Parts: sequence; C-alpha cells; structure tokens
Amino acid sequence: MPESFDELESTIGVPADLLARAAAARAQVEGTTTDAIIAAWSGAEPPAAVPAPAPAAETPPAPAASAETPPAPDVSGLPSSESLTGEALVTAAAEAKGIPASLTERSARARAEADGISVEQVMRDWVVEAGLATAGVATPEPAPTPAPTPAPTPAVAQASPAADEAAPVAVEVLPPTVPVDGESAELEVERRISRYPAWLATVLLVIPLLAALYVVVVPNEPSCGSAGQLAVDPATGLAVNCDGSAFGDNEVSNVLVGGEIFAASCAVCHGATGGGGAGPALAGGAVLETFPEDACPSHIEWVTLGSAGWPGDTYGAQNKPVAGGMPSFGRLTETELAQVVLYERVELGGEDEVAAEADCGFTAASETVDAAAG
Amino acid sequence: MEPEREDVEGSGRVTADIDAGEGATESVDSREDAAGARVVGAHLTLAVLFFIVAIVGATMAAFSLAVPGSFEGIAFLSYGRLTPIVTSLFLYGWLTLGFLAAVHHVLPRVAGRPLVATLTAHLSMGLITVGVVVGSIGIAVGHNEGRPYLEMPLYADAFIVVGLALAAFVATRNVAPSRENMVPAQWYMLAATWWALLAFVIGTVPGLTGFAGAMQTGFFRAAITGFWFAAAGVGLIYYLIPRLVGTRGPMRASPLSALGFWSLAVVWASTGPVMYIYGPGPGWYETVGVAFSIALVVPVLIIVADFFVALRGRWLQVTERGLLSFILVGALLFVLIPLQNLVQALRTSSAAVQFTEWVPAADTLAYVGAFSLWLFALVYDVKGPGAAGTERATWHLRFSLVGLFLILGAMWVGGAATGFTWVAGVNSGVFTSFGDGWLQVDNALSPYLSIRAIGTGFFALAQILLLSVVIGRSTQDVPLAVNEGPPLDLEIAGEPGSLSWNSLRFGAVALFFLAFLLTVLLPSFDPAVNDGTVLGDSDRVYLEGSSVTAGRAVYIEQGCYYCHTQQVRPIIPDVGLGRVSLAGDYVHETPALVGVERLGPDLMHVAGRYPDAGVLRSRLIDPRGSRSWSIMPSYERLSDEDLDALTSYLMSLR
Repeated sequence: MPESFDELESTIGVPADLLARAAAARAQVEGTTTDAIIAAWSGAEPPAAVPAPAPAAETPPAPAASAETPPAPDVSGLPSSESLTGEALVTAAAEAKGIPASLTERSARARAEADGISVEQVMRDWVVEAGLATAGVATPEPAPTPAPTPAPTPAVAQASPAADEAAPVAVEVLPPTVPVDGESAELEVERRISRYPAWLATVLLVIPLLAALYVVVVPNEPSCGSAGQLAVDPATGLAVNCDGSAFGDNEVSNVLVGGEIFAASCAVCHGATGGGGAGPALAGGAVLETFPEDACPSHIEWVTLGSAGWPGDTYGAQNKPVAGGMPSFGRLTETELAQVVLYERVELGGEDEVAAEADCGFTAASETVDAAAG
Repeated sequence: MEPEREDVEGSGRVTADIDAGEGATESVDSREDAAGARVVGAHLTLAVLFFIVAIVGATMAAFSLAVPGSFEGIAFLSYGRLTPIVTSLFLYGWLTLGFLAAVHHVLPRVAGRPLVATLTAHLSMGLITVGVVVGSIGIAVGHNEGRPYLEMPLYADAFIVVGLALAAFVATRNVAPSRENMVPAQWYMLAATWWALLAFVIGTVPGLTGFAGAMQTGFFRAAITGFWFAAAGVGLIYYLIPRLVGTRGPMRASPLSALGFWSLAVVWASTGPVMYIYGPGPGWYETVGVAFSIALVVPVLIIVADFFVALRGRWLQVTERGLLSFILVGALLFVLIPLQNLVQALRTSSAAVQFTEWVPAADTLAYVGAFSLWLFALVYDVKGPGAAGTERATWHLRFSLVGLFLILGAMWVGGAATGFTWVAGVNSGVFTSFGDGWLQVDNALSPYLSIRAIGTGFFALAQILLLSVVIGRSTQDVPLAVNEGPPLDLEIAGEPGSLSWNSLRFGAVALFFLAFLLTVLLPSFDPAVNDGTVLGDSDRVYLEGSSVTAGRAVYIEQGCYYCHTQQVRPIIPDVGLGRVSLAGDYVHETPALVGVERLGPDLMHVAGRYPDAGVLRSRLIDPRGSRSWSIMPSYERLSDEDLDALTSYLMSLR
C-alpha cells in the first residue's frame, strides 16, 4: 500500500519506511492488521471488528502487558524470537537487516552497548521488527518492582531496559518519564561514562599541546631560513638571502631566462625550436648568418624595434629587405631583450656562450636579478 | 497518530506556559504549527532560489577563467564582478536564509512549542532578501566595497544587519521558555544568530583604515564562517540526527557537547589571520592565527565525535534513511575544513599554497561542501520528498558530490601545481612571477581551471534534481515533536554538560569580543601597522579628485583584486616582485587592497615593470595581443576616462 504510506508521510511527516515498520509493529501489538492501523492513522474509521487503538495510559497497569498481547493471526506461524539462539539468531538477524552475518553481529554489539541491553536482545528485536519472528512468549526479564508511588504513567520504559527496545510502539505513545529507582539511575551513569571513546580524550590533550608548542617553539618573528623565509635588506627592502646577498646570485642563467621569453613571445612565429613558421627559421646557425658574431647589439635593436620601426630599408649582414611583420618587442625590459637574443644566438645559433654574453652586454650573471627586480 | 497524542496529552497540551518546568520541554506534542511552517517554507524557497542563481553565476565565472575572454564585454558578467555577486548570493542569500529557516524550524521543535514572533521572522527574511538583492545589483553596477566577503555596498548591509537583529530576536524568544534546560541544538542556534549579527555589525563598521581594515575583513570571514554558518549547521545536525534515527527527544547536553560548543566559541573566530600569513601584518598577529588554526581541529573533532557517538549502534539506518547520508558526508567535509585551513596556516606549506587556488578551495569546501549538504538535508526533511523524491534526493547527493570533488580536486591539485611552479621556478632562476614568466603559471594552472569549470557546471546541473523535488511540494507540517522510540541518551538536566542561560549569553558574546580584541583591535594598535614612514612622500597617497584616486575606484569596482594581490612577501616565490610589503604601506588606503589570490601577477610595484603608461594601457585593452596565453579579460568596454584613470593608478604603484 505504498500510496497510503505516501499520503500519510506528507500528513504526519514521518518517512514512509519508518511508517511501514511502525504500523506493522503496532498491528502486531494490538492484534489487528497493518491496514487497519494505517486507516486509523489516516483519520479514517478503523474497521469495526478491530479494537480501537488503546492508548497505553488506559491499558491495565501491568508494565509488560502490551508486549505480551497474543500475536496477530497472520504472524502466528512464525517462531518466537525467544526460541532463537546463537548462530540461528545471528542468521535470522542478518536476514532481517539484509546484511552479512559478521556485520550484523558487530552492529548489534555496538547498538547493545549504546542502549545498555544485551546483544541477543538487540538481534531479537531486529528479527521481530522484520516480521521474521514473534516478540511474544517470554518477556526476557521479570518486571522489576514498580515505582513506589502510583505513577500517573506506567514506568514501562524505564522499568525494564529491555522493554525499551522490545516494545518500541508501546513507548511511542508515552511521555518520557524520569527514572525513579536507583537501579536505572545507576545504569544511566554507566551508560554516560561509556559514551565517549577513549581516543577522543587523547586527541583533546594532544592537539592543544601541539598548538601551545607551536607558539613557544616558533618565534613571533619567523626566522630567516625556515619555511622558505628570506631576509629583507634594510636598505632596499628587497627579499635577500639570509647572509644579505642577493637571492639566486649564482643560479641565474641568462640563456635559460631567454628561453622562457622566447617560448612566450617568439615561438609563435619562429617555431618552438626555432625552425621557422610565419617568421624565418633561426635554428641551425641561421640566425648567425643574419646577425654574425659581434652583431648582438644590432640583433637586439632589430627585436626591439621590429620591422615597422626599423630605420633602414635592409637589415642584418646579408642586407635582407625589411618586410613582413616582425613585431616590436619594446614592451620587454632591456635585460629581457638581451636575454632572449642571447638565447637565440647561443641555443639556436650555436655561438659560444661566454663570447655571446660579452657581446650582448652581460658582464656578470648577477646583474639580471637586479634588473628584473627593479 | 495525532488522535492518540491528543488522548495522551488530553487537555494538558503545553501552551506557552513558561513555568511548566522540565516536563514541558519533554512533553510530546504533535500540534501543527502552520504559521511557523509558512515562515520556514518561505525562507527555504527564497534560499533555494538564491542558491540556484548563485550556482549558475559560479559556473559562468569558472567558465570565463577556463575560456579567457568569455563574457568580457558585459560588465556585470565579467569575472571581477560576477565573483563578488556569486559570493554574496551564496553566503547571504542561500546559506544565511537557509540557516535562518533551520533556526525557525528547529527551535520550536526542540522546545515543543509553536514558533512565536512569526511576523518578525517574516520581516527579518524580507529585509535580508532586500539586502542581498540590492547588494548584488549594487555590485553589478560597480558599488563594490573592495573587501572580500563584504563586497556589498554599505546601504545593502544595513538591511541585512536589521534583518539579522530581528532574526536573533526571534530565536531568543523561541528559546527563552526553556532556557533553564537547553539542549545543544538550542545553544548553537541561539549563539549563532547573535554571532551572525555581531559579526556583521563589527565586520562592516567603518573606521578601521589601512591594514587594520584588512585584519577586520579577515576576522569577519572567520567569524561568519565559524560563528554563523558552522554553528547554525552544527545546531541543525544536533536536531536532525535524533529525528532521522527516530529516537525520542532532542540530543541532550553532555560534557562532550558542552566542550564542543565552548571550544568552537573560543577558537574559530581567531583563525582570521590565516588570510595574511607572511603578509604585511605584525608577526605575532600571524602566529595567533596559526596557533588557533591548529586548535581548530579540536572543536570540529569533538562535535563530529559527538554525532558519531550518537549514531553508534544505529549505522544501519544510514543506508535506510537517505537524509542521514547527507549529514554524514557533510560531517566528513566538516572535518576537512580545519585540515585545509591548517595547510594554509602553517608557514611551511603556506609559502607554497598561499594565493593559489587553495584559498578559494577552503571556502568551497565549507560553503558548497559541508554547509550546503546540511541545508539540503533540511530542505528535504521539511519538504518531505516522498518515496520517489527520496530516490531522487539520493541521486542529487551523488551528482552533487561528483561535481564538488571535481571542483575541489582541481583547486587542490591546480593550487599545489601553481605553488610549486613559483617556488621551483624562482629557485631555478629562470622564472619571473610577472610578465612573460607568468606563462609557466598559466600553463600549470589552465587544465585545472577547465576541470573546475566542468565540475561547477556538473554541480549546477545536479541541482535540477533538487528543484525537481522541491518545486510544487508545499512545506509539510512537521509535527512539533515527532521523535519516537527511546531517547537517544539519558542525560538529564542539571547533569554536567548542561549550560545555564547566563553562561551561554555572556560566554558567547564575551568570546566573540575576545577574538575581535585579539585579531583586530590589539594588532591595529601595533606601531608597525600605522607607520607610514616606510612610504615615500608621494607613494600610495590618494588625494581626493586625483586621477590616481579615481583609478583606484575603477580597480575596486572592476574587481581586479580577486586575481591580483598587492603584497610582496619575504619568501622565495615573491623574489623579483620588488620591495617586501609592510603594514605601513597601506596607511593611506581604505580598504587595503592586499588581495587574496594570484590568478595574475602581483601589482604592488607594477609601474616599474612597464616602460610607459601607454604600454600598460594597451595591455588592459588587449591582454592577449602580445601574450596569447593570458587569461585576463579585456577592459576595452571601459570608457577612455576610466581606462586613463586605471592606468594612472597602476603607474602610481611603484
């Protein structure tokens, strides 16, 4: 009857699957059919033959009475959950939950621990809930002494810890009551203590200690050399090595930097390896034919100005006519221009690096960093 | 079910009897709360609308990074404008209205009384909605305040402040009757509404100039994340877990939940300085942020442990009840928040990931991840999707998660790739983190920007499932006390762990101001923050009416500061960017445009990198003319006047 569940779901606000289970359990307890329960909940008149849902407050005071109600006819063929033990119980519970037996046992153990009842009882409840067995026959523990004063509501929920789970439907309609007898209060204390896993306490101790340690160990002004930290040159405000020397002094290769610039700005026309494209080929010494050794300044000038800005009609040693669309790279800094020309001459043209650096105006590698930083 | 309840309760229905005592809060009452349901339904409808608009906007923003140049001709769709609009819609439309719906939904149900002050709740919702709409339109036409997360113009913030004040009033009214016996859901939600109001007032109040203003922004971000969204979200989960597992009554106070609450209140708002590790601020200010970021692991672990302890022995229900999986996945993402934060906070890792995609990843994880998933659970719980809807909700969760992890994965991996490119590049000596050297950064990042865009689109599409469930379904009347079965735990009032009304009230407010004192007020009195002598006389001075000042306004209203920082740190990735920035560099500017992320190069000393203003101006008009790989949008659509002003501002950054 999925439709009626859906309807109910929207009116009552309880998920359909929960409703189905609650209705089945209720029907079992009251000895009526699930349909009758659903009908009653939907607001329709329950079938005449079925006893009206009896609120627990009006049932006779015997605490476990509702759990002992004779099973409804449609489940009478089922075994009693009490008759299930050991392996059989685990298998039945696994079937009830639709998961492997090993998982069932673990899950039941955890649940039992959380609710303070026995593992068997948890599994029996599951079996009963799934309709694979009847709850009846034996209420596990004899009902404990009732509360000394006649309580306005039956103390069923607290009187027997097992009843909590064994008769969830009976509990459903009861307002919660505060436990009165010492036994269940003791049980509660036990439960509260066991709620918290031990590892948590460890974590709670260790992490604040770590935080405190961090504050103590790491100085307020992080020191140079740790975690990528550099020193600041008081005169220039630039980040420098810890000993005050410029960062990266000995590591910069103008040819490599030039290669980066070439890849970004020149490779589109001259090819990634200088093989040519929209622009002439530069590789294999071609570039040195146009701008031979000692012609680096004129090479730089050509790249800086481009064909549009070039003053003459021809360029280079071979007096090539100024044509085509060599763009101007005036946007690059002087150093960058020298670097990219150096790359073309050394890597693509094959010129000696030391000679080319001198020709292109590099006296020492360190200059480049300062220029780039400015 | 209702007739039975009536029988049990008889005439003893709990009316708003304040003195009913402990029994009152525990009584089972299934009366409908039609007025309250209308409040919650209206809040959620608006929140979902804002969410859908925001997520579509986020997709477009992500797309314009992956395909440079898209939407660049339309002012309000350009990345720099769309980003703050999306942020505002998401944070103040979706999350704020959504969590207010949670507050108005949960507090009556925990107390077992219908929502009171419903008119005020409607009014508060209206004001916040007006604020968000006006604020977003304001940003779209260029009224950006220049502060991340607080971009909305002050006139829009005013609406939101009043709206939050009314919401805090409503929450207080609805907790007050049971204030001697509060449960964790009530602590968190009550404190969250107060904190949200305080954070907004303290965060937007003008007056802090220079870098102090930037520290105020950092504090606001931490406070609104931890003290509003996270606190309200945790409160919601404290309500939803017992409801969904079907146990009776709300989760009660325990020493663990009290510890979780107070440690969150002590820690979270003081993590603000994480935005400025290695930044211009005082060193001790950063160390405060780092220490609190380590400590942030504590409240988050405690809170999630408390959730998990409550579920112990009930794990099977996670598979049975679809909504529980939203909560659990959200809780797992919630655990990742402090870990992500820690990577950004610890100096060693910060040197690599700061200013990369890791920074927005932190927000995505929290806002789109944990908090949104929790709100989805609320939406489904309130709208009661039915059996078919539950199936669709499950698919909604799956698709959303695929989208989310595409986004987060792209941001994490792409961010790390960027960071390592900076460090390794500078170390190798062939890299400059500006100009043509930036090619390497773009090459490293661009595939991840594409994945991020695809993931965002996927996430947006997944929301069709959300709409399909929500649209056309009226808010169902969740009875005021629906929980059945045994109580989740048997803690009783007066036991260790319960909070008194006064300790909550004074404690929550006091801890808020303590964090403000520690991470805004005290550091703003640090002499270094106000020392303008580090600047030359004419540097970074903004006289009224000058073209530089006008250009700075253009810089803010176009949202340049979402992709460009203006701070040079004393660490390896920043070598070559010029003089290391000090807090005193910003004394003449409010807000200080220190920036949050570098999708383009730092601009602190950009003027020195251009031979003349003309070259720079041409770069603004045609960024891909000379650098085909650039992802910067073109600003050709600006008027000549604005372009000139922007150019002269940038050329003043020496």
